[in-house]
This record gives sequence, structure tokens and C-alpha cells, in this order.
Amino acid sequence: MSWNASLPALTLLSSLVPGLFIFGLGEERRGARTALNMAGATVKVGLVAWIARGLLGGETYTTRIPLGAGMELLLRADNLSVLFALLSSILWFVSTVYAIGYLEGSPNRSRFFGFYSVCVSATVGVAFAGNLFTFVFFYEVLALSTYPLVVHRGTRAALRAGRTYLAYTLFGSAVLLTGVLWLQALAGPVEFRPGGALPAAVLDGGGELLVIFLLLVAGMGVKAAIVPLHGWLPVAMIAPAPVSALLHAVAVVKAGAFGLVRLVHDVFGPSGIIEIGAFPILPAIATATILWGSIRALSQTRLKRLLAYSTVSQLSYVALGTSLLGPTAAIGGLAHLVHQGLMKITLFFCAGNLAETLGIHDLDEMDGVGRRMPWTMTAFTVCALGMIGVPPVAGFVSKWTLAVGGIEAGQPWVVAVLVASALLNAGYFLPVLHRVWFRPPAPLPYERDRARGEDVVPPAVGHRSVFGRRIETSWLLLLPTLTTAILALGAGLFANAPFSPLTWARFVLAGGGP
Amino acid sequence: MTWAVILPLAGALLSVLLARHAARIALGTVLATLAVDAALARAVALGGPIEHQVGGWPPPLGIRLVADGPAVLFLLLAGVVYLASTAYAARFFDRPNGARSGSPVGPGRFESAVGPASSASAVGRAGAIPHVPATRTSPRTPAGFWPVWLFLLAALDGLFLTSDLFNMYVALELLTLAGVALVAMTHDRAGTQAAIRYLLVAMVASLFFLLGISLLYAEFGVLDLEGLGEAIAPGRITAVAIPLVLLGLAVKLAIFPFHFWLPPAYGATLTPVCAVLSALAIKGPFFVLIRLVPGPFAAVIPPAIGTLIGGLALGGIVWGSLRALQQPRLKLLIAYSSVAQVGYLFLALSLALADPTGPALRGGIFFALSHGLAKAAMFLAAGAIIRSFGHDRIADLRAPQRGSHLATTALALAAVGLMGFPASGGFIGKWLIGEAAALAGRPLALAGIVGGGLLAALYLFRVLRQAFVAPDPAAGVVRAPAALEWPAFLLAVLSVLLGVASAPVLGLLP
Repeated sequence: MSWNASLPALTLLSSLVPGLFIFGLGEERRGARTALNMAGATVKVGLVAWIARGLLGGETYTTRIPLGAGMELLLRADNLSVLFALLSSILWFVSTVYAIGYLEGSPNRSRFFGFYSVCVSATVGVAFAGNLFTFVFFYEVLALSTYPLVVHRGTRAALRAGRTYLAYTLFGSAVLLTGVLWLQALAGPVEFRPGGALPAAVLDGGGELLVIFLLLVAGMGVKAAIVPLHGWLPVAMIAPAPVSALLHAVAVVKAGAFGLVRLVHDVFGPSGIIEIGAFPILPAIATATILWGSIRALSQTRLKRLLAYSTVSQLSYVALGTSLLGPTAAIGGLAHLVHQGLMKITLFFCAGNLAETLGIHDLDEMDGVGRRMPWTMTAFTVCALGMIGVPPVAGFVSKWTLAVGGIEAGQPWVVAVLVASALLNAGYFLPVLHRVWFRPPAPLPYERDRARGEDVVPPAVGHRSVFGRRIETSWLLLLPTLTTAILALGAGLFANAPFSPLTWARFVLAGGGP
Repeated sequence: MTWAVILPLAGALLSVLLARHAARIALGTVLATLAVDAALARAVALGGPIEHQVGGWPPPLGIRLVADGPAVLFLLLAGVVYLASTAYAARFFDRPNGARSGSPVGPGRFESAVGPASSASAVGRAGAIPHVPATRTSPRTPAGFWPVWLFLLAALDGLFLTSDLFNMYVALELLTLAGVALVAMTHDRAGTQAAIRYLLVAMVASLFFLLGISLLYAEFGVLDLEGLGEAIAPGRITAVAIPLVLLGLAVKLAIFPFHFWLPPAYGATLTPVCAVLSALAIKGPFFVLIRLVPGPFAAVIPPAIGTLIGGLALGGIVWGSLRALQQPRLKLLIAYSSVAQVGYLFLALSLALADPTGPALRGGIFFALSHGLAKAAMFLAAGAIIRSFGHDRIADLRAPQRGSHLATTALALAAVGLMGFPASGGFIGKWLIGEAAALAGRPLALAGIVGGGLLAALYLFRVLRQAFVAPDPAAGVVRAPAALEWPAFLLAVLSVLLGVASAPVLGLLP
């Protein structure tokens, strides 16, 4: 196997192999675990960056592992897969640093980091999947390997959340598997191809194809958290913050949204979608999800739940952009895949910092917290504004492109949806920002409990010193937060730079190199 | 080729003569048999099927042995599962010097064990050695265990190689007798009852099978499968004989609704025996079915029987899963899971009848192989966990990794295989059977295959979730011996590797 042909497989193994070793490490082997984690994450980012550079130069990277007739593990790097893989591997790097700080001193860390690595490997598999078999293969691995992370804390609530998560995600896998087997019975093994992989004779199938399309959408939709399949996401926020980052930004929901993009562009193709009469369905579902998620977010009292509903809403921008079938809208959707990931991971990091440092989980405990944790809350503010769509943060760029694309595709109502959603986003984020910066500081939850005479322990992560100066929390928590916030800001400010997500999304749609 | 049968027989004999070294003899025999299997598999993979006429007599007078792709794969499965289970069994039973198995986990754990919940275990505390319940100590090796153990392997290998109806009957019969004898070795009431029930059911099934093949022999005068395929013709006798043969095999394979004998037999049996019976013994009748149904019977089976088999298969998947969902004990849960998994095999068979050129048969065989590895791994892992807890009440098996980290991992990996999730061999099998169902236009069968995986996840996660629960401080847990954990772990790893290295295995299948 040549170097280029083995690169996609190596990228996958770069997180899987360290993960398997980590499983075997004793709990106390902190140094070895950290070294394995960081080595894997570094190698992975390097390999994906190498592949991205090579793609620009016209190289191809394809790994084929035959498993039997009609079953081939096909890992292929194209522009779309690199967009996702790059996002996922960079965010994996950042969130691993964060998780090391976050989980310091807590039990079962080897198990945690082992499954974390397996999840990321599965995500890279989803990103590089070149045919439906490979996609299903890694999609199901992802479904199973996230369960241990969701239930990591082992509390009653965590196990209940795990059950909900499993019910949704395994149902999604089953529906997807059914749809894929059915489709392949008609069309033979489906290999992804820009513009659609199904021959015209198959697309003439009519009603049957529409049912298959709906099955596939439902299968992806569970992970992409489209209404009414989104119920698991707010429940799963019970998991530790690094897991929320994984679910919301690095892997799971992204895999769902990415799958929808593949489905529309590389399986059915825009013309195929119109031919089988599925066109209005996906935009309608996406619109409903955007609005419903935001409306639900308005009434939340816990920070992480609010963020979860915000993800439900924001993620469907990707689905909406894809489903409009116009190139500009699709570029906006794809850019938002990355932008939302950067912003949402920052917001979850901030929520984790608040919880670990100050013990804050509820919105009404956040009064004046900007004075206690100025850096964290600055990052939070930047990304919350970005979610609303305030320039120059990344969210503005993708929403703007989406709106332009909507008009271009002859669907001007998209603008109205975007405006309504922005207003709703402002409706739930601005009150939080107001609390954080303009209300007088409230006593912290554990101070309050102590004042009531309860014997409580302050949160685990205390203030740390760097160069003799006290900082607001452990630098392992603060540094990743600031990094992703800066990336989110940069992706907006330099949207037209050569390697920005928006530029890369344009490559994806243009096909081939720049 | 005959060595695959002769070696275990010789080993059985030797283990009677040198009873003191029986365990070592068994291990050596199984290793040698596995080496023979591997050499045979290599030869078949390179040069195609191999035939051997015993004593140089050609059929119809002589007996023909055939080693083709399915045969060598099942031989290998038997060899691998036997190797792991034999190594396991050698440690499972008490050592001659009476050394105690297991050491407490952590120094302080047993102090807290003296509570109302475990007052029984506190009674026998003597000195530094904590008292452990009976299930936690190694049982004595039952009299005659090792010879019967090897005898079962000989019967299996003979069954996989034979190409003659009467020899199949004989091998099936020996398989059943050895299996019953092993189940009866539990020395308790439940075990004896289960063994007797197993014996009666299997004997009735054998009679059906024998009656069927006798009728066929009377009508067509051949026992060799190839000859039968040429001679067989529809008719009154055929119409009676074939259902009889199928019924006999179905009962032995514990297909719903003839499954009632299986769960109690497995639930009461010694763990290594469970592993071998569930992984291999029920594959015996399945192997006969894949020889007969797509072979000589294909031309004369009425389509209604295919539909009936499919219906029973779906019933088995649903019923077995629902029962597994209700079981409070780990071993019974795994036993009922077998009832569901046998449903997949029959579903594949029914699809293969509907569409002989489709991937159904390959899927069924692959699933059977994967199930063999995963199920054996699961029973062995369960045995190690039971040893460390002293019971198998699922609700109280909290944080099983405390006493047996590897066994818990093995349990999880094997569960992935039984659910049919990637990257396990079960996924490939499920995919192939599902593909066959979709190609044949059978939405119900497709739903059964996919839904069966979901049901399996439902009952298996009842066990797996316990690994994430905080440990129960009042539960005394001893560390399971490593020799019990490793065989389970390695088998489980194999069952997963089968999923990513399936190409050479599928290359051996038709």
C-alpha cells in the first residue's frame, strides 16, 4: 500500500491505537496517558493538515480494505471529508487538553480517554467514508462508543440519560441500516459521488425511493438532532463538559449533519432529490427544528440545557443550507458546520469552567460572574454573540451566506427564518450576557449552601497561579476555551483567507482544488 | 483429515488411562487438533475442497469425508473455542493441592463485607482467609469430565467432515450424549433435571431424524449426500421424510417453540460446558442443515416450509429476546439470547431457500461463526465474573470490572458481536443476511434482522450498564483468576477481529 493510499487509514489509527493502549493503562499512569493522548492528537491534526495540503495539490488519498463481496471499507479524503476531519481533529486536540484538566483527580480516567479516542476515530471514519457501507460501519461504532462517555459519572441521572441516549441513537442506527440495505438492494453498493451516485434508472423508482430517503434522513436525523428526534441531546448534557464538547462539536451531532450533506449531495444529488419529490421535506424539517430549538431554549433555567437546545437549532442551519440545493446556500451550511462547532465548543467549555471552578450550573447563579471569571466570560460573550449572528464573529458569516444562498435559490423565506431565529437567539443569550456583566455578583452556590449551615465542599478546581499571577481557573481549562474563541473570531474576521472554513466550503462545492 | 477426529478420541482414551494428568492431556490434544484444523484450512484455502475415502472404499460402499470451506471454518471454530474453553476449564476446577482461588480485592474490602447483607459469608471466617460462598471456590473436577469433554470434540469434528447421512446421525447422537453427560456433571438437582430433559428431547429429535433418513434410504438407496442429491425426487416418501429430518434438527437446534430445553440446561451447567454447548453443540445440527437444505433437499423442499422456517425464526428472535430481557440472572440471560440468535440462523436458511444465489447462506454461516466466538467468550467472561462475585444476579453485579477487568471487557466486546454492531463479525453476518432479505424483497425478514439487533442491545445493556455504576461497598468481591479471564478476553477479541478480517473467511464460503 502506497503512502497516499494508507494515509486515511493512518489518520483513523492515529487516535484508535493510543486509545486502545490507554484502555490498558492503570488509573495512576497519568503521565503515560497524557503523552499517548497528546501524541495521538498531534499526529492526527498533522496528518489531516497534510492531506488537506495534498488535496490542494491534486493528490488523491484512498484506502480500500475489502471485507467481502459488496462490503468494502473505503476511506477516501475529498474536500468535504477534510473539512469535517480537520474540524474534528483540531477540536479533539483542544478538548483533550481541556478534559485532562477537567477530569483531574476523578475516577475511571483511562476508560474515559479510551472511549474518547474511539469516538474520535469513528468520527474520522465517518468523515472519510467513501461509500454507504463504510459510513454505516463507523456511524454505528460512534453510536455505541459514546454511551460510556454519557454515563461516565455512573450516577442515577447519568444512567437514565444514557438509556435515553441509547434508545435514540440505536433506533437511528437501525433505521439507517434498513434504509441503506434497501437502497443497495435496488442500486448495488453505493459509492459517494458529487452530484449524486444513483443511476437514473434507480431514481425512477418513485415512491419507494422517497421512503428510502426518509429512512436515511431519519437515521442521520437522530444524530443531527432534528425535531422530533432531538430529545436525547438536552438529556445528555448531564455528562461531563468534555463529553458535551464531543457530542455538540467534535463528533456526534456533526456526524449527523455531515451525513445529511453526503446524502443530499453525494448519494441522491440535487436533481435526484427533486426527481423523487423530496425537495420540500428537508427544508421544512430544518426550518421547524431551527425555530423549535430556539423557542425551547428561551424557557431553560440551566446553562447546559440552554446550550443543548441552542445546538438543536443551530445545527439545522447546516441541514437547511444543504437542502436548498443551491451552491451558495450549501456553502453557508457547510461553513456553519465548522463555525457552529467552534462557537459551541467554546460555550460548553465556559459552562464547564463555571461548573468546575465556581459550582455554577443554573442561569440565575450567573449574576455578576463576569467579574469573577473575566476571561472565560469574554470567550462566552464572543461566541454567544456569534450564535446570534453579530459580526464579525463566525456565525455572522455563515448566516449571511445562507441568506444570500436562499435568495439565490429562489427561496426568499429563508431570510425570514434566519431573522426570526436571530431574534430568538438574542432572546435567550442576551439576558444571560446581561446577568453576567451588569448584575451585582451573587454568592456562589456553595457559599449560599454554607450560609444555610450545610456542609458542602467547594468545587474541585481552584484558582491557579501562572508566573506568580493568580488566574481565574486552571490553565488547562482556560487555554482551550480562549483558543476556540479566538478561532471562532478568526474564522469570521478572515472569512476570505485561503484556509478559512468558508473558503474551504467553497472548494467543496466547486469540486476539485481552488 | 481423519486426524481431526482421531486425535481427540485418542486424547479421550489417554485421559482415562492417565487420569492424574487429564487436564494437561486435554490441552495438548486440543492444541494438536487445532494445528491439524489449521493445516487443513490452509490446504483448502489454497487448493479447494479435499475428499477422503475412508479405507480407500468409494461410495456407495465406503464413507466419504469432505473438507470444504464451511467444513474447515467450523473445524477451526471448534478448535479455537475448545482451546480457550479447555484452558479455562483447567483452571475452573479445583487444583489437586486444594489451593484456594481468588484473593480479595483490596485489603479493607472484606471488613465491610460483614454486614446484614452478607452475614452468611461472615459465619465461616477463619483467620486471614475470608470465607467465600460456594460458587466462588473452584468445584472439584467431576468424574469422567475430561474424556467426555474430548469426546464431544471428536463428535463435532466428525460431524463437520462427514458427507454421509448415517454418519451425520451417528455424530449428532454422540454429540448429544456427550453434551447430556457434561450437563449432568453439575451434581445438583437442577442440573440433573435439566440433563434429563435435554436427553429426552434430544432423543425424540434423534428419532425423528433417524426415521427421516431411514425413509430416504429405503426410497433412494443412498446415504452419501452427493448421491442423494442426484437420486432424490419428489414423492410421497420424500414429502414425509424431509419434514421429519428438518423437525429433528430444529428441535436439536432449539428453534422457537422447541427451545424450552435449552435455557435450563445452560443455566444449570458448569461454565466451560455452557461455552462449548452454546458456541459449538448447537452449531452441529445447524451444520447438518446447511449441508442438506441448500444441498440435496433444495430441489424438493416445498416453499411453504421455507416460509414456516422464516416465521419460526422471527418468533424465536422476538421471544428469545423478550425472555432474555426478563431474566434476573446473567447465565439465563445469555442462554435466552441463544434462542434469539438461533432465529438469525433459521432466517438465513429460509432466505437461502427463497433465493439460493443470494448472500443469505454466506451470511448465516458467517453469523454462526461469529456467534460461536462471541457466545463462548460471553459465557467464559460471565463465569469469571460469577467467580468474583459469588452469584450472577444482574442487579447486584455492580462494577464487575473491580474483580475482573479483562472479563468485563470481554463481556462488552462479545456483546457488540451479539448485537451485530461493527466492527464485530456479527455486523458482517447481520449485513449479509439483511442484504439477502432486501434483495429477496422480504421486508419482514429485514425488520427481523435489524430489530433483532436492537432487542439484543436492550437486554445486553442491562448487563453492560452495570459496569458504569458505582461499586457496592457492601459486596465482597474477589479477583477472578487470570486464567479464567484471558481465554474469555482472547475469544472476544477474535470475535471482533472477525469483523475486520472477514475477507479470507468469506473467501472460503460458497
